[in-house]
Amino acid sequence: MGYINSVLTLGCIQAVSVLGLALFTGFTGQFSLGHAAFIGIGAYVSAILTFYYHVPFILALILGGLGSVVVSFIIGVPTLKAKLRSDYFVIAIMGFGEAVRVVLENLNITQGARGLAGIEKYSTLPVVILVLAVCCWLARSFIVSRYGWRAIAVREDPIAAEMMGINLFATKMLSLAGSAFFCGVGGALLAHFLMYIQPVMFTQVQSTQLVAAVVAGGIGSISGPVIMAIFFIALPEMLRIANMWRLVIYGLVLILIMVFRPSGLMGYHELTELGKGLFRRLKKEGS
Amino acid sequence: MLELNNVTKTFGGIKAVSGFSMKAHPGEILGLIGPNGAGKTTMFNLITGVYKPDGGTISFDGENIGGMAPHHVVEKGIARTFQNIRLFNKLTVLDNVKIAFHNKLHYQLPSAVLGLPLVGRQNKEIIKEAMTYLELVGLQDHAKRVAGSLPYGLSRRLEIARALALKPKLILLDEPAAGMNPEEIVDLKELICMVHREFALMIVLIEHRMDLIMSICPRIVVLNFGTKLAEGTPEELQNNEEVLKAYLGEDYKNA
Amino acid sequence: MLLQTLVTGLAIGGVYALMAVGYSLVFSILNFSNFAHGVIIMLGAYFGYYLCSSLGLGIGASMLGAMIGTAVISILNEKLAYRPLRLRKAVPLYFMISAMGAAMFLENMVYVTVGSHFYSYPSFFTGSISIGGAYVGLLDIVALSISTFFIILLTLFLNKTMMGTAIRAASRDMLVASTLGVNIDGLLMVVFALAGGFAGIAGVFLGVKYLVYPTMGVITNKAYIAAVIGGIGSLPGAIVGGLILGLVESFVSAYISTTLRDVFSFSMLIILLLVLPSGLFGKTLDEKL
Repeated sequence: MGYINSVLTLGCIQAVSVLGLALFTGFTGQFSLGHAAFIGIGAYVSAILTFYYHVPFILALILGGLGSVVVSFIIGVPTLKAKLRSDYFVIAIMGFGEAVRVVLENLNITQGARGLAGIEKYSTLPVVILVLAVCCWLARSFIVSRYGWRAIAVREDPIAAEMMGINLFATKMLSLAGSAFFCGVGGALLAHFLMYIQPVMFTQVQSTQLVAAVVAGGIGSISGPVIMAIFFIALPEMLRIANMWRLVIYGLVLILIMVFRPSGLMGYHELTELGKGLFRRLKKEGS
Repeated sequence: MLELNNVTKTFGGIKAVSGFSMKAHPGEILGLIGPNGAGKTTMFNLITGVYKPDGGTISFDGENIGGMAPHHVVEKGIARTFQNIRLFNKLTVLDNVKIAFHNKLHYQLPSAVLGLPLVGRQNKEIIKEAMTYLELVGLQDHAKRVAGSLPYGLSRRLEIARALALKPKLILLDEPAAGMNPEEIVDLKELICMVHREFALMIVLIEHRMDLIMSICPRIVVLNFGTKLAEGTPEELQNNEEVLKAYLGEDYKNA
Repeated sequence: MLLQTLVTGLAIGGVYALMAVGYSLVFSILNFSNFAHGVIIMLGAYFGYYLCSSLGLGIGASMLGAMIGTAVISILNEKLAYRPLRLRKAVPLYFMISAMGAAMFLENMVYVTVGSHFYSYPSFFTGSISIGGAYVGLLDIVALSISTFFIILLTLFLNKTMMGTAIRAASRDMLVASTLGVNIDGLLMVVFALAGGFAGIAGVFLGVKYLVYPTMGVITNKAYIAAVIGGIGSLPGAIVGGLILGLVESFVSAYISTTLRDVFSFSMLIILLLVLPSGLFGKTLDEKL
């Protein structure tokens, strides 16, 4: 029971971060290989707050998210403002992610590459599920608001979006900041689950795992990536697949999805629609 | 009033537009014609801020808009459609128009993220307003359809509805009749005239279909090699040697 | 010291150029950054290593073998991971994701099959020669000459042969090229074979100069930087970008600090992109409306 519990907890934590990337990639159409840096910032900010300053967990969680938001502006403002083409943005944010790791490795307060140990365990399964639920609500509300419309318009056709009076930079930056927030919260949860963090946990490999979950879950969907995030963590654990094989399979899954089902599990759809559809059908049969 | 003064734009040393000046007055439908590659679409891109002019000024209602970012140009009251139709294909017809209202809603980011009821209320009101634009172009029955699945003629109409929903003072139409059959063109002509009347709009129209442009534009500017070749009423242009030689020649006699 | 740093810089720059050419060739035609290219370079280093240390082949034969191996993998990569997307006219984002999947797959296949050991090539070109009082490593000179040789060969191929002309035409406009009767499938096979072949040579050089290990693809990120500096999609850009990056790195390591080297290259890239968003020789990518 304890084992399944911790696998699920880890899955839900990953889902919070994946939600972040879903906002940026799935709804705004921007690609990133550096989001692990935001998870790292959230993890370190929150862990330092609870570890050194005994800040309440809920506050540390939010500040962890906000810490990532601040950092997202540092990379986002120059690169998004310059309208770099998406390939170049990817390399810029990738380099940025590496730079963040190097900084974490060389600060005193993070205890360098050795990592920070002895963090309190606050991320229990109920807590994590609650946070995931809240985050899903926030993300969904964002998407169905005018801010979400703008993001989706930018994903669909940036030039047409501009001619609708949409500020491309502001829209992309807002999505990046929002995605950094969720990744930061995910990182904060992770730190207070593992009770131990190290800069090496937040590398490009972690970034690619986020991308894998978003792509497999489906572009333009919240529920798809969340389900896939949990699935991608849980399945290999359950099947006891070695870590390296897991990445081999992720890679293969990405190619297969792009080749055979680019919309992923639920591209442009949500689980709730399925519920509504069933409901409608039942009503029809009833009448 | 839209006023272009001595506008120049070069791409890699090639002059796409050079020393071009023109005026469009409120309530006017101005035609912009010229052979392929004459710089017509470039002109639209310059007016809407997609390109920055290398020289000259572009002013709208007395304000210099040359080189302004496209989303600011839109705020000044200019909307456009594209030669090769740029809809948000994965979204529904209604959502395409809804997006035009993104700046007209009153709620701010915090209430949006928290999903407060006022957000839903305002979004609902917008739907009503968006529907009126769909009705205007006759797309009300297609509201729930995915925009990418619309036939060509209807896509054009949706693009026009989307631009109108921005409530512009000036609308730039880039070859709206391209790829349409004669019946569709008649419908389009009616639509443009109706829109022009209803909204007291200023319209600048790029078109290759001479029959269409000659019948709805009281004044036409002819572009060739990025410069103004002639300007006048359809009748004047029909008798203009230069224009006939450069462009209208065969084309017009066929039409 | 100066001359030595210069030659080292040019030599590593030449290898960067070889790698950057692969990124640029693919980009110029398919319009996306082939993130799998770096992993193919890594595989080239492994192929070369096995050929010369296990089979005891000479460096020339090993390099040839590595080139063939990487060319085949590169072609397979295109056929399996990109061709279906191409036929569907997918957007570049999907190509990038597929490329990333291919990179993940290949890199971790090496982990699970070969393991994460570090291997070193047998010693080649260990001596150094003295030019005007400065000692210059023989390996650097060989690397520089061979890179130059292959890049000249590629330039001749692109400019003097029918296939090369077709490739250049396709890089302008693939649709036009295909309507003119160019066989796009065959053309891309040649392009990916070339990119792969160059990856093989570069991989062997990297292996001889450094070590062979699964994440050595990280070095190849720098080749991508080189391609971007030069203006991705441009062949002269790839060469110039590679040389600039090699020289900057070599001078920064020699005169400033080795640990700052990578920070320097990255900052240079970002600053350059902010000033020249399409690199030194890149086409301005004003989208046609």
